[in-house]
Amino acid sequence: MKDERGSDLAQAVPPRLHPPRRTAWISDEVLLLDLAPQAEVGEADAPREETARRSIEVEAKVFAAPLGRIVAASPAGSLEGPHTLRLVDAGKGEMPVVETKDVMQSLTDLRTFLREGPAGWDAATRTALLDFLASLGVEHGLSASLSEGLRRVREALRERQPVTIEDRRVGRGVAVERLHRIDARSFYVRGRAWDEVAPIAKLAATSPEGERVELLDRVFRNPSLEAGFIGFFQIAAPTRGADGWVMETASGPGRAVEVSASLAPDPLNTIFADAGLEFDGADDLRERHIRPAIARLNELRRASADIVELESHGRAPGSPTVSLVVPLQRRIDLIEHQLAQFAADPELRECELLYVLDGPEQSEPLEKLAAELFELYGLPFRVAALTEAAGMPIACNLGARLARAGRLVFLGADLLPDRPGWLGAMAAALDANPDAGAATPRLLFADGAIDQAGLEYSAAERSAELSILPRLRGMHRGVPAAQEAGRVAAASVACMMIDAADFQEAGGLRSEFGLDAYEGSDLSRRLGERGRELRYVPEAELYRLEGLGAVPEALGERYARWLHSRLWGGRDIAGAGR
Amino acid sequence: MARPRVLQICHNHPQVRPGGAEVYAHELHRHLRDEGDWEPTFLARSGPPQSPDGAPHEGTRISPVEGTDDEYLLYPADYDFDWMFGTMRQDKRLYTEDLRRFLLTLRPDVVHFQHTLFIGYDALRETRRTLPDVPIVYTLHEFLPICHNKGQMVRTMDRSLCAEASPRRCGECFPDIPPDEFLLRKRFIQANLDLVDLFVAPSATLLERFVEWGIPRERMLLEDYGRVLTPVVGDVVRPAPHDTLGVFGQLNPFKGIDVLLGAMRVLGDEAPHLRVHGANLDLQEHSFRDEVSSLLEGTHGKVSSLGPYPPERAGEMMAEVDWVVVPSIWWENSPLVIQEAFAQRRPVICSDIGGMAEKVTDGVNGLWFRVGDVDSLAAAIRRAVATDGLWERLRGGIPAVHSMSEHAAVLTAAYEDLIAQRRPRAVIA
Repeated sequence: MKDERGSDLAQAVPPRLHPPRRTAWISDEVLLLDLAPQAEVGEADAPREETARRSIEVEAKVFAAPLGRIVAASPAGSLEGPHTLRLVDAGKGEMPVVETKDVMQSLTDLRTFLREGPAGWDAATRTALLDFLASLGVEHGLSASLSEGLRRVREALRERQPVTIEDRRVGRGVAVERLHRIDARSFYVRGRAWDEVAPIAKLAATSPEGERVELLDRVFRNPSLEAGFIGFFQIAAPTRGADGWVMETASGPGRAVEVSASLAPDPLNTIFADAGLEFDGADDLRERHIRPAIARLNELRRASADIVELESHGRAPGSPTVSLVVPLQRRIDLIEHQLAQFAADPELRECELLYVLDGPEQSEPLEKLAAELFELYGLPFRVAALTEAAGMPIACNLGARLARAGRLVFLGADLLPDRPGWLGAMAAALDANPDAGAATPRLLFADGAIDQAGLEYSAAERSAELSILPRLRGMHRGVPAAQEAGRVAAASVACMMIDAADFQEAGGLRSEFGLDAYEGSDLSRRLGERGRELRYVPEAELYRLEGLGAVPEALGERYARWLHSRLWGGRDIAGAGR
Repeated sequence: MARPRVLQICHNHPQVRPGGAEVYAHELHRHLRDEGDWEPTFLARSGPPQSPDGAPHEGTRISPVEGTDDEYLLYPADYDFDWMFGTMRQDKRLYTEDLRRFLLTLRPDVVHFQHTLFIGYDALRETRRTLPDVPIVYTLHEFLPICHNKGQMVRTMDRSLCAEASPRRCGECFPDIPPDEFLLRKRFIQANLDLVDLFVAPSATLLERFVEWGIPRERMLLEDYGRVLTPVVGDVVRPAPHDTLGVFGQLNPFKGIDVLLGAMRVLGDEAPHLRVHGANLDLQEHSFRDEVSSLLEGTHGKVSSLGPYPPERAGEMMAEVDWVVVPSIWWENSPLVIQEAFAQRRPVICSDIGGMAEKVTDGVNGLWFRVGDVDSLAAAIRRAVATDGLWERLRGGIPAVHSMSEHAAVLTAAYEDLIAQRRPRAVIA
């Protein structure tokens, strides 16, 4: 930010001084200087001799307006001692020079600085100045102090509109139902803007730090939403805090209103709810707004979530044949129920059992419970936790990284094997078929009816959308079709056996669907592209007890279906498998 | 040569709460001790709600029963017992610390669980883990592993009989619990019961129900309770008319006291005298207590409420009645009250289902009535009281009661077989 160097000014053309009219700290690091317009700088202002000997170059940004120039700089220690500061704006080629003495003498509080300077400028210039200042967050990093300073500037300078209330009986208004932060510069908004007299001509959001972004052409609007708008949007400068957004709408000059807005928690709830909207054009909403938001959230989770091993209980086999990776979300108590079954299964003694907690919240009780359960059951197992909650697919991906065996089984915490032998049967199916990429068992409901015997696809005639169907769902477990082992179109990751190398080469789980059937199908399709088949193994039977609430409510089914169809629907996969 | 050691584990001590199963288990323990061929130990759970006291000694949850040298009390009150799954929630140290130390100190040759209620099925697993070669025996006293409704297999919504547990049916009885939880419950309990070498079923009713539920038949032993018989004070032919009824035992909604009082109301002036020797009405829900009070009001002084009685005086109480009524609306297992009635040579009027119908033969040593049917019971009572010679004839049909000596001989023979079977297996392992 700052390039300090002495130079022999006697050898150079003497710069003209630009004594600031006012200066004020906008944050702990950033100083604002209000200089007279370039045209008004006098000829005679040459540096005084005692200060001319030493000059320090400081990077700065200059906002030039007819009534003045606002310079933002981070001079820090450069203000100590008598010398000149050369405020270099590399982008504009400007280089105002000020004396530190003048800077210190003109120092005032931020409120006075604004009131006596830019507050008197016209609205358009003030708005442009706010955008300029908001961008300081990019240059300097948005500290809490700078964020607070920017908010104060914004409140002093922004053009205010009449505040509207959230009542449709009022003829004109704007309401923000939900505003979510996706990341520091990405947001998702759902709201309404209406005017009984004329169409909405302007819709803008202003960040707490003053950046204004025009949304009318960015958000999604549709007659089915009436006055509603929905949108994923990004801003140039980062923003902090949860309060202080302003949403403004106008249908013409003099017909503007505004409302303040705060960030809401749980963006996925809103986004998945919007993803479930059905009307002509809803796919466009999903494509342009829902998916970028979810993809970004997913990208962030993938980048930030890591896995740490909490404890290894007992001595696992030196070369396990299989690593069972069990993501744990809500119900850590289900470990006990699986152990009660696994303890009676000799094949488990040859396996590595790895529980992966989705986030750190329950680490402590899990560690305690795991230690006691190991004492009671004596079956070795490992316990790991994600550094932040990231969902089942990422827990599987990261768990696979910790797993030591060359073969993986992904297993939901709410699954219980019907009897021992299921692991051997699935392994045999993989071993016997060189083209097999993964194996899936017969999954049962609590009443013994079939939950799924693999997955299959169906393209509905009235829409182009591809659906995943749990094969043979609802049939008696003994129905002949369910007794036949063989190829199926796809498999859920609720229970899937796959070689670790195949899993890694295929890229793991996409983690954008969240739901085990879609994640499994997506992986199945990628395996399919590599010439690998999915094998259904009826000898392996497990109960899947979704009613236990072991996994969070499936909010994103509609989105997952749309995305899955978008990714794979154009290809001829409806007949894959059987 | 050292005598073989058998450890009995029970959910209560009769000193704490004199329920049927614990009275029987304790009698078995005392009998084995007195016989002298085995070295028995009795470990019973104590503490709330039956006993207010916590563990008397700091640092241990086990303490001796005063005045004995082979009986202990276990105090798990600071653990969180889960009725649904029959396990201590989260904290397993009761098993892996307290019980483990106890087992390693005693090193029994057989562990016989009389009940795991309030202790947890995990005690079976701990026993298997700590003493891998020691046989585990488990006596089934009711349907608790199968049925969450206090093991009665009676439906919660209308007290009708249930013949089969399933996630869906159990979910109907407990609408607040997802059906999937009931499969989880079944699998958890079965996984622990799989560790048992031999189940003792005191009735065929119970045995068949557990076999249907999934316990292998080859691990079942049909063996009725044995009783240490109290002196037969009533083996005197009471003069006619035989018009005094008695009902004995727990007064809870499953025991059918409301059916019996209803029948008394139906009989009106014809009703014979009824002596109610009932315990624990005060522990029941208000609605049931109110129902019983209201029914009592309609019996016009024909009913004497005499409260609980010490088990050892059961014979004395039964000697004062002509007929013992067992009106339970649940299946019952092998009701001890029937054995006590037969020991006193008193015919039994009972519901025509389950363990009652199994132990009492209609027209031979008692009379049946349709379960839960007040008119049918009223008719049976009318017939019992009014039919000349019936009481004497039925009394003549009463079989000998299975004695504790006979019972203990069957059990110890089974223990010995199990020890013999376990040992070679352990060597191979």
